[in-house]
Amino acid sequence: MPIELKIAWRNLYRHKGKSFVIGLILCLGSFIMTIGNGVINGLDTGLQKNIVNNFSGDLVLVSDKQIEKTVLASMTGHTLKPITNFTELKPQILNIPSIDKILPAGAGYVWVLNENGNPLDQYLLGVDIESYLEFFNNNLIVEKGSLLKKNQRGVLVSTRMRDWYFDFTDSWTVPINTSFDQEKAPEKVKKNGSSLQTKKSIVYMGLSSKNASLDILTDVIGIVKFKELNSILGFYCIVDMSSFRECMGYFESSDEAVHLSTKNQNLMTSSLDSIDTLFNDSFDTVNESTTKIKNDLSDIKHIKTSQLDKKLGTYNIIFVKLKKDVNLNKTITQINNLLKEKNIPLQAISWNDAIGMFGQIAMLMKGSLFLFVLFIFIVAIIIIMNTLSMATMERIPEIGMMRAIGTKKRFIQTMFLAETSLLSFVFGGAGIILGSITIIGFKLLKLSTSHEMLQILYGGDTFSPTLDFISVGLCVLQLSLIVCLSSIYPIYLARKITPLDSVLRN
Amino acid sequence: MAIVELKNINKDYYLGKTVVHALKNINLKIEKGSFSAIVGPSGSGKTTLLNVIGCIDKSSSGSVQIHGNQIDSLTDNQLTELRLFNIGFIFQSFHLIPVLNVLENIEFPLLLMNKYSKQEIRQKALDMMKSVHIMDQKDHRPSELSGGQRQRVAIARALVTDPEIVLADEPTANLDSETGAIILKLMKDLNKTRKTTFLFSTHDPEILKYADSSITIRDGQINAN
Repeated sequence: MPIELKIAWRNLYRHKGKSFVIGLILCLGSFIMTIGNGVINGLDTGLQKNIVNNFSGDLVLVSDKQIEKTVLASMTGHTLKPITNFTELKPQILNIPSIDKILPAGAGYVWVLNENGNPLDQYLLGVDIESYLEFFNNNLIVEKGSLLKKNQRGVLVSTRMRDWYFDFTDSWTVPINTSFDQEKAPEKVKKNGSSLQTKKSIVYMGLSSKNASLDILTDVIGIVKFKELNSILGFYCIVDMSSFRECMGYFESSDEAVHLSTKNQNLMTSSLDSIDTLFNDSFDTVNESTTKIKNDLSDIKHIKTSQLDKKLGTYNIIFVKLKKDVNLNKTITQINNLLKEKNIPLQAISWNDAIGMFGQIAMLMKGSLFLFVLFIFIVAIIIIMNTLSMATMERIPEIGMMRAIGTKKRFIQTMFLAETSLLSFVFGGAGIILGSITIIGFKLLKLSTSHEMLQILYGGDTFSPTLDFISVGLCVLQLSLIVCLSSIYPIYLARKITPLDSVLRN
Repeated sequence: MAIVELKNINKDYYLGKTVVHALKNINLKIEKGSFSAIVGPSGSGKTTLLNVIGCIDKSSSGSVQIHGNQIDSLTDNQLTELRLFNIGFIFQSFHLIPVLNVLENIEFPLLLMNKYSKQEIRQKALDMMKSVHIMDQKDHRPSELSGGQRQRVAIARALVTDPEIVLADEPTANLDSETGAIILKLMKDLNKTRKTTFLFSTHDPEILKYADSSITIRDGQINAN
């Protein structure tokens, strides 16, 4: 064993108490850092797994005219630009090598109209339910009622939105063909007793950039829950694609079949301000409301009559799952380049950009955790540096004597570094091992939550901090940094000790 | 031949605005193979003089030559090497490395020299232990030794590198008179057998009888040589 290491080891053993205190700080610090890294990693992988697999896919394709990237959780209420010819685009999209499968859908912000007069806002997802469930691994659990059947019109209300509707309207949503089950209802609902109103249909009004467009009355087919992250993803209710299109003002071929008589056409263009005109034969005044609707539909006004064929499909978002082991960021760049090259009027947005505020909250939590770990890191450095500096000052006679008999500064430096390295290897290593065991313990405990913030922190419904080789490597790196940074000042002090200091102390 | 030569050495200390003249115009030559003592009362400047000779402290003015080397312009690393290869130190409080045993303490400067193999280092250390009669304490730590035994280890450590000169600052001050006499006799024997130059300080006139020559110092000035 090199003499520096031998002296370092024996010095640590000689000052057991002090070594133990520093070691304990190192152990605690690395323990907390390991847990912190595990939680950050769990949050990352959990969110990615649960959101990618169950809600957003790896990326989404939206119209190239779409400016706002937070297409799945926009706070602005802006509607997505429509994709009007999905059927034509589909083979071209599926030709992109990294893409595994796709799901066209409609996503938008709607108002829930109710008797109170104060509309409630929420997100609505329009899908073909069979394809949706297949694409997202049957991510829905039916609480009451049933799932939508093929070509059935209606809405699947999430448990979260059902609660929210109740908070705002005092009426409890139940699916059609079912009845209110008082026993299974939450306490807050039970309190209303016999005066409780139930609702089996909901009126949604689609919102566009030019304000409201059309409203639809939809039957509630089922009350559903997302398998993971229901508190967050439950902001969305799911409707059939036809209802969604109608709500957002995307016309279908069936709409084209409506032929209005001249009289009715004149009525459509009449002004609601002059109610008398309704009883007038001329009906030639331009209706402001109709103009508004026309403006709302300006986004799709270029659609030719032939394109209104339902088969061509008007959607506003395409969920994409990539093939395995594909780098997301690189692939997004590649896909965007390819889309431009082939003049496909779409753009790719990563899942974390698309989920917007959820991703931002997750980033905030991640940042806070990182700051917490950093705080522990700095505190550990300060405490260890202080203790080591005091220990150095106590060892002036010993170090000075060593310098007098011919020890170079480099030797003293190595000796100190060896002492802190040994301490951190033993105690810091123990902290990392303890932290890893605790993480495994947390995983086994399967702590679950329905609180939305905790769900983001957990990266799912269950707390599952994760440590992979990279995270363990990061812990070791952080520990090494602590050792290096906390040793700098004590080593500087030790290097400054001269043989004369030893003689003068004597 | 002079192993150490001091010319017009002055050493001043500053205590606030007060200047303390610890050494005043010292001119001194220490001959090779001599066994010399620096004598003087406490505060006379004995330790300061030894520190300057041992390259532990720098003089304020004047020049110091050790084994023909002018030390005033040497860097810290060069001074450290000079101390390691040319000077042995024996301290009043022994100053052994507490975590190393007797054998390891003696081996320590040889390891620093990076000049000998492990076997050579071990052999040199064992030979030196025999010379100072501490073979039985080979594996003991300094805390397990008496004052006399510790000073023997310190002497062995100072001599194991075959230095040109050994500087001893009041080597018997922490020992009883009987042990002190034994230690001085040992140093004297080693001086004779190994021809190593010894320069030690003392304020005890009793132990002067062991010295070949003495330098009397008072108020930082040499009174008699």
